[in-house]
Amino acid sequence: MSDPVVGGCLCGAVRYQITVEPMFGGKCYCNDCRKASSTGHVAVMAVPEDGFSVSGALTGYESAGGSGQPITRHFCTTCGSPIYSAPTAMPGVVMVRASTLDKPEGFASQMSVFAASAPSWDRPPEGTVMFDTMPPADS
Amino acid sequence: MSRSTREIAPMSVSITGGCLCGAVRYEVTVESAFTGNCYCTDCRRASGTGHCSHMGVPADGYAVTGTLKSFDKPADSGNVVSRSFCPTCGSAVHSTNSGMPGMIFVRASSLDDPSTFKPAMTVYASRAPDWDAPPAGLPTFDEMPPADAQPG
Repeated sequence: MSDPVVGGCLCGAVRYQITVEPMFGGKCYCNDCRKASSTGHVAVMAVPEDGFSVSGALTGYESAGGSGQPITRHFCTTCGSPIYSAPTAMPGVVMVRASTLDKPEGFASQMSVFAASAPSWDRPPEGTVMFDTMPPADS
Repeated sequence: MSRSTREIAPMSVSITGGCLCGAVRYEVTVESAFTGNCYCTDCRRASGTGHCSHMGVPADGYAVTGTLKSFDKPADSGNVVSRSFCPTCGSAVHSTNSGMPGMIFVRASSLDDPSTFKPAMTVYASRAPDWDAPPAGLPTFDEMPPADAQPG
């Protein structure tokens, strides 16, 4: 890929760089992602962690994800902006929040997961693959 | 009838919510003055996706418990927006705007029962990324609505 993809939080204390192509982009409507968003869902880029470097003070919060396995959500300690999460169900992969991209038009979402939990006022986009909960393991 | 006449109080409600970890809890006891989605760049950065969903609630109808941390930043208007989040889990809980004193903008994300929320408008739609298009069927403003429209 050409130029690295860069982003950061609202206050600027946290900055990151992505130097590999994301594996996929998607939206998650599970209840925990809703609670940790400011609306009904989060938009994430799945990035191999060795292609993701981040600087600045982050706070992590661990809880059980939709799979039942722990997921740690990392946010800017100063302004609270969600930056990325690390699900133990996908070791070696970080889920970077598309909200934080300096150029958000570089993101594309291919799928919505936990679509069955989406509120009526924040529906998953038509035209992308949708799963009621998580995709089957072989997809 | 000797009973004295009383003023009709605003519709009282009991809407509860809180952050992901449960350290912050709140109750809203009056109807929202307005509701909507905001796609401004700052709301995007703080959102986990492309926008925030707000309930504008009079401050005297909002009670919150637990520790919050706030970050202040001027908006396009020059008014200062103070965004408050749970410092333990990072969940956005509410914001205030120096241009609208007495109003609290509660994040619909944090509702215990999100079906109670009904957005009435979309603001800053011109900033929406193509992967998070504003919902169809709502009054939609490129930036803020005109001053004589319902604030958002």
